[in-house]
Amino acid sequence: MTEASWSVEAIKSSQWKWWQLRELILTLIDIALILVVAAIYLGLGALMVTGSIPLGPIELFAGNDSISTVFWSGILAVCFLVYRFSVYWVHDPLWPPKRSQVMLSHHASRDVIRLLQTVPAPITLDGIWLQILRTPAGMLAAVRSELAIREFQDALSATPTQAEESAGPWAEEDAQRIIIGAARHAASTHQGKMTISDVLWALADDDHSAKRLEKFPGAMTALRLTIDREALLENLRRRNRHFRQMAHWHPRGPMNISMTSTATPLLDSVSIDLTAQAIASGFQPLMGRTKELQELFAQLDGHERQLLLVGWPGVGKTSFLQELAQCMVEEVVPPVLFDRRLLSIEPSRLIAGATKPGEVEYRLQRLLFEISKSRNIVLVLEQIEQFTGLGTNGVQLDVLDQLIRIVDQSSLVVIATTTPDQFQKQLELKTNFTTVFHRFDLAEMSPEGTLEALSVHAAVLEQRDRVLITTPALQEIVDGAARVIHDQFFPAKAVLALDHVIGGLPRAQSGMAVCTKKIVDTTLGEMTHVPIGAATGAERDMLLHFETLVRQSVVGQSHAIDRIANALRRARVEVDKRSRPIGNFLFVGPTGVGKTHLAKTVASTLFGSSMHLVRLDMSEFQAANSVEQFIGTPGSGHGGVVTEQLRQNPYSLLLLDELEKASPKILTLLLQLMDEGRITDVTGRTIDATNLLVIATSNIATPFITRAFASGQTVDQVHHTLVEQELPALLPPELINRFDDVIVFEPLKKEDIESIAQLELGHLQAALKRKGIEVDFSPATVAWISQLGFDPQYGARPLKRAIADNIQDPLSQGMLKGEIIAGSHIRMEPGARWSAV
Amino acid sequence: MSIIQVLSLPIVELGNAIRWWYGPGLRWMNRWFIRELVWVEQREHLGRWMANLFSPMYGDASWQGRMISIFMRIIVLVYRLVWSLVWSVLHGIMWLCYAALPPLALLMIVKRFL
Repeated sequence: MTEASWSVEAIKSSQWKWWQLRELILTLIDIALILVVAAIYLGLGALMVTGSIPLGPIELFAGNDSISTVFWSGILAVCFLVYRFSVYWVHDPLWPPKRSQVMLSHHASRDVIRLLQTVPAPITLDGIWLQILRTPAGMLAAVRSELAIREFQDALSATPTQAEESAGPWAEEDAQRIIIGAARHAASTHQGKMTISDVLWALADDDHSAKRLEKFPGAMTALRLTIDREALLENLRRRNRHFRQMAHWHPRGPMNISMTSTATPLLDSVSIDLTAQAIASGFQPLMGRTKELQELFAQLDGHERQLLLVGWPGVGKTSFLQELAQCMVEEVVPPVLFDRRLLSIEPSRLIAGATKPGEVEYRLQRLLFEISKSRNIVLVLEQIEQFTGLGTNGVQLDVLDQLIRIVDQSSLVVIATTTPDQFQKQLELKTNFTTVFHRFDLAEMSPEGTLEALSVHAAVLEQRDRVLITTPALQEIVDGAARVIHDQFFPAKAVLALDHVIGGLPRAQSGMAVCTKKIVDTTLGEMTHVPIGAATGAERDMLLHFETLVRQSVVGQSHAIDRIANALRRARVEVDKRSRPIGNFLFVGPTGVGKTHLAKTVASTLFGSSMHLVRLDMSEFQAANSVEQFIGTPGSGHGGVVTEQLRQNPYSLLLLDELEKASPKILTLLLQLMDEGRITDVTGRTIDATNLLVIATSNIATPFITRAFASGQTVDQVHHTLVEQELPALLPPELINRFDDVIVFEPLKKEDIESIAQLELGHLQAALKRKGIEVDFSPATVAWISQLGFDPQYGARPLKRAIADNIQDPLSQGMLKGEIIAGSHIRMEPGARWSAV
Repeated sequence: MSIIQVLSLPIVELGNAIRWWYGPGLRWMNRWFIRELVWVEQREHLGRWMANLFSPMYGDASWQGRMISIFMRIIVLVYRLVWSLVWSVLHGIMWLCYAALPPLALLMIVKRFL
């Protein structure tokens, strides 16, 4: 048995006591050696001080007496103690673990050894799982991962232990693999002894181990992310220690390391020193932008001295510059940025107090002089478009033009920022601008990068606000924001969403709060008016029985109801990644057949109220200038009536009544909405339409539909001819293609009218019952009113009028006369007569 | 567990200590020494000071300024050089002590009995 395998085995089995005795003996030897060493050197020191013995280099090296021997023996003892101390306490890769063997005494921390001691022999995978959940680190990781600890423990306890054939004497093969994996992970990441987190990592990384969590959906992913999150924060803590060390020695103020720079009083008064801020307090580290930062360094190193960072608001341009300042302090930058200050000019400070004509120009010249003399300045012009049209004493100055001219004539390092739309509107057209500044695009951060950035932000919030933010909550914020917030960009929208969620957290009496995935779903849902997370309770029942619920108010049109219900269910459970509305449907059919009624019923069933129904009568959008009504008037500074409604109700039903009447320009706007799931208003704001259900109705091709059905064609035949031949001649083909389905509404038959009459009379009965009046409608009455309300040309439209004239009118007269009062029970008869029962 | 095992334990551990001292321990010391050398350069910026020996300090490019600058830079450079050397030599001695002390101590003890 080799020494290494003995060390592994010693943790369990009959040799465990021997292992403990070994530790005890070695500890006693350590103590004895410490005492001996102390005695040797204190004794020698005392003898030297009293002058009893001569003890100098000659005596030590050339001497041949016992004093010299004692001294050197003490040195050997000190060396041995250094070894003992290092092996047991210092976290370093002292003995890198081999492929299949680890020495627990060398590779495991005390916590891990204690953990393994408490697992019943032989150590199994389940045993490690059970025990690790009892450790503080394991429990915290489980809580952060939203793992149902008790259920998981019960499941593990219930699993029968299956001894494997290859099981070792002290631990099963699976368990040994976990321990070796943990040791190797420790050596490759933090280069220390394996900790509980390393064991957790190994458990999460192992396939056999992952099977234990199969019954807990998402738990394994959450656990892995939690461990990554902890590792990320640990790395940042390490980086921060190094940063503080570097910042301590970094020059403060305008002077650089080699003292070649000069004082810059004017520049200091109109700018913010980002490097000084980084030294003083540090910035929140930027995650997920390493590639971009390296690209920026490469460009600056490649003699491109003026860069323009172009990115939408919220992609992290300011954080990017702050990270650049931190890198400059850490001195991990190319020579062009080394030993320089990063100064961000404030346009308002530049013009503040300038009263005389030409004063701003003079200041600019002075600034240039200071910068060129100092030679250690990297200039930042945040939102460079702000430098155009600066006003002072009613005079508009285009400082930007002057800046471009100055920058063009110098070799100044300048980093400016702007947004793509401002670049297009104000900068691209400026003389020389694009030749002076090289565009550097800062794209929206990826969801993975955002999760890292959010983890850092969450760590700050956890410390500041006394909250515990779980990993699934963070993941849900990223996923939810990606799905429902489309007018902002990552990472800002995720950070803002997290701040919003934390702000509304319910707190325990102790002031602590836990932010979970469920809370995120609820808060984000309330914030965006779009349901997020799994459908539960009443919503789930509604979606499952959507068809039945709609059919309670709608007669026929099964195909349309089924299609809409399926689209809604698909969208709600997010089975596919959509960048389009939930569904685009075109209802075609004669007037009065229930197209609009069906859309309204869908809205009231889905949302429970008419609040989320955005109904547009397209006949109001016939004029050429109706686009302004739709998306806003240029220069007004706000969006259109329609875009504003959609922005406030992103989760709603957009009903486009009589679509064929809209102007071609409006139809073009609708193309974008239906195809890309978004629409841009006149202010440039993008309105998300991916949570809209779009239903357009049209009477188009009514003569064809009526003729076709009259000639006995089936719905399918009519649909085929309509889509292939009739509609393309009346509506733009690209618009027809955008619809998920064109649903043909059949002209109503007499039986349909009778069913509708029953429904309507049912509603009337219910309304009167609320007043305490009971009304009966005999089959003869229903048939009579159906007969009155039936018109093949206008569908069910005359029915309402018939009911109003022949039922509601006599009843209201009776009520006014006092003949029908609360408690009355009457029967309506054909011929608009009623009688008491 | 036998008495032989117990008695042999210090010897086994001594063997481990020697193996560790010139294995992982020495590797750690090497890294530490290099890290200290890098750190002293990061702190004192000797290369940068040498490169800027003739650059005027505080941007004063007059001939008087240049003269004072060269004089001051030489003084600062010497100070930094001495400080860096002391720092490096001190750490070099520590490294040397680590590497040489055990055999030296052993040699001195053995010498006594020869």
